Amino acid sequence: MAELPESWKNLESGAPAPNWVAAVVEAQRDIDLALSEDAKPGHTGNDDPREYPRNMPQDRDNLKVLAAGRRSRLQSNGRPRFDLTDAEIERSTQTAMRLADASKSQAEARADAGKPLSA
Amino acid sequence: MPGAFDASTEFGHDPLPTAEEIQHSGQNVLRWLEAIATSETPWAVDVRLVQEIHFRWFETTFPADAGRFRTQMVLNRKGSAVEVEAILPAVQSACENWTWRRERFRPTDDPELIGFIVAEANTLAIRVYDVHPFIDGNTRATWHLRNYLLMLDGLRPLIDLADPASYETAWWSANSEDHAQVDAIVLDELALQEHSTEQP
Repeated sequence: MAELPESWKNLESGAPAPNWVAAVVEAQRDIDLALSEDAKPGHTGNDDPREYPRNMPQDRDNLKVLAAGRRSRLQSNGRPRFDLTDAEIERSTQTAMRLADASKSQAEARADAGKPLSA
Repeated sequence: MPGAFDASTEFGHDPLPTAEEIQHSGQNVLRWLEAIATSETPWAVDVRLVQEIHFRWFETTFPADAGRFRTQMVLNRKGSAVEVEAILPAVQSACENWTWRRERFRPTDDPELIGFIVAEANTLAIRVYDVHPFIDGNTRATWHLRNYLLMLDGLRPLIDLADPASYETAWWSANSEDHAQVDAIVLDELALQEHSTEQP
């Protein structure tokens, strides 16, 4: 259940609403949002559409470079093509293995009795 | 106390050949993910995918646990592992959220789209890691899970880390609600890779 909009709280407390048009707009927006949230599978509270674009990094040059690379890999059927080399496959997997080792060594430092260490 | 997946009985409890076999299997996982991400009918992002990635990583070294959700509590670095009963609904919810958000909020314009792809891939990878569904191998499984999500939307997988220390600091302090630092670092790393693939 969504919280009452601020403008409604003003009404409940007897204070005059400062702007009826703004109050109605705000109320409708909150109702729409609440209805939208109710329809979401596995809603976790962090998918408010008003947040977008969230976590947007500042470096737009990187985004442009990646966008150009992405476009160049798209085929006529709409699917990408990568042609990863054996060396790339190996290095990516090695990176994951190194991170897992780092994870386990840190967990070991704070080991609790009776629980297996897990990376 | 050794980690659960450090030495396989299949390899005489010897950590070195165990690690070599895991590395070999991990490479096959990424090759398989590349194939399904580029196919006309990519695999859906769901519990089955998460389990399949883990299964393929560890089926030859730890067959009894490969692809199976754990049945006991574990200690992971972030101390985030959930109770056994919560694993399935948590992974299911994480995957459904990723799918739902992609269908609903995916930007159409390029710069925003790239930021969205990376942020959403990190959200799911971090959520699954934090749930810690498997007895071991969660870091490795979620690394390739994110690689699949990136490839699914046309970005190359993460290969190397030019600055592993920054990545690790960001990864271990991130949670699924707050991972802007991981997003920025992954974007930097992917852009570096993109530049290097442009070289003749």
